[in-house]
Amino acid sequence: MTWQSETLIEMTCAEVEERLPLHALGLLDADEAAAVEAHLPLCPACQSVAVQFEAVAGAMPLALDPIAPDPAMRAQLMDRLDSGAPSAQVTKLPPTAMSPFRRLGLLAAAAVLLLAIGGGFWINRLIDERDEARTTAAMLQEFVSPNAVAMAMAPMAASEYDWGWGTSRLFKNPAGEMMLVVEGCPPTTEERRYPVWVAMGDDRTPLGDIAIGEDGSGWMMVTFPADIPAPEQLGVSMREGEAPLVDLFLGDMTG
Amino acid sequence: MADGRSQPAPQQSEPAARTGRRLFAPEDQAIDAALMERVTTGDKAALGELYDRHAPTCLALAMPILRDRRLAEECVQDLFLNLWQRPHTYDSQRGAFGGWLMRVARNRAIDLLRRQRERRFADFAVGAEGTPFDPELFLVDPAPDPAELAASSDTGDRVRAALVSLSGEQREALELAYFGGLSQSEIAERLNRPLGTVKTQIRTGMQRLARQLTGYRPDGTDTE
Ligand SMILES: [Zn+2]
Repeated sequence: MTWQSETLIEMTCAEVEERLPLHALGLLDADEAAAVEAHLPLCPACQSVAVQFEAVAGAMPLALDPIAPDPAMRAQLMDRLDSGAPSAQVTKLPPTAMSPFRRLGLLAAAAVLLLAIGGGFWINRLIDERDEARTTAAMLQEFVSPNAVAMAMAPMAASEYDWGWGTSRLFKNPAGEMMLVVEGCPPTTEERRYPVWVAMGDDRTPLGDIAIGEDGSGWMMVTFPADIPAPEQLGVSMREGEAPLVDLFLGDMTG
Repeated sequence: MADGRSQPAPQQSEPAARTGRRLFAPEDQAIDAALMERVTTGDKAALGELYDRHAPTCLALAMPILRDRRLAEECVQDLFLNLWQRPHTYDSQRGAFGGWLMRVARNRAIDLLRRQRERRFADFAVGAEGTPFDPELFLVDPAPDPAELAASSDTGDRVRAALVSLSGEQREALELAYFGGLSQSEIAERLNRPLGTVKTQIRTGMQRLARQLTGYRPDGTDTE
């Protein structure tokens, strides 16, 4: 199987700042966008600039002449509010099952960010500070070690408007094991589960659900089905009631 | 700002959020924040008010992207239904509600367009009668005195003034990207310009807008 084995691109502040105008318009390539998004949470200066370009992008429609919507559409919307129960995609887990997921999810998210700045020292320090999570942290370190491969998954438009700054990556450790990490989803009080799948052509095969904890991050170990050892795509989707799946992140495995 | 929802740990983004907020009138932001607060408690009337306040601009934004009135109306309706179902997706730390909603609306319209896979704007650069594409079609005519517009307290006036101050080529590329929902290579093809030129024109155009609207300075120093 071939990997788009770009490890995360590291960018300087100048490189990030140069890309922020296009980032605010959603015009960057997936790998560039991922690199920018890995940088921003760690850099107040660039984040401040990003917010300015986002404000400009958000204000541009105000230059347009408003168009009054059809009143019938408003009435229909108000009707739909009754049937649209909030957060249909939420699946609760038993409380006992949540804690370790969250703990590891948080560590994974932190490790992803630290990896982005090449901070092995900080990863170690993070691990030291989490005594009770030592075993899982050791595993994580293996996944984010220099010999591991990381694949940034392209965020779909849905992930941007629903998740703001969500990112997803697939890590493969030297032993060939794979871990999917999602982070940056909006914090909630309930754990959510999103279907993960692999695809050959249009055929999607479910791999299970990734659990996103209240800190907005989550992880799962990924094993490809025996009959699909080298899938073309890996994806994370969102399910809303009976509606079709909405793709949040897609990874192209055939690069 | 009155917002009692639990927030993620602030990432020292308070000054950044303030900068981004300057563009939007504080009283509008306060009204939106209060309405969103009510939406999170399941207040349908509050969602209706947000719809009345913002749906006309959302529709004006979705129209040139989707180029189909019915599709654009549905897009806006779904946008507000989604807001009702998941109000927590708005994070007040990231700036004004109005700006966030417009970015979400634009993403949704572009997403819808791509899913439709009817590249309806295949003839985007050419009007129905074969007339050349005119970005003015998407914009209200600026008032005769851009200086007066720029000094206006109305955000729309200030954005119009800032857009008018761009070079024709910057404005054309930026408007095709923003209001037309075209990718950079599609724009390069439409305008018959090298891709690198288009990238530069969009980036420079955005930088000039930010300089005028948010006080952005390329070296990162924020004078205002
Ligand atoms: Zn930076």
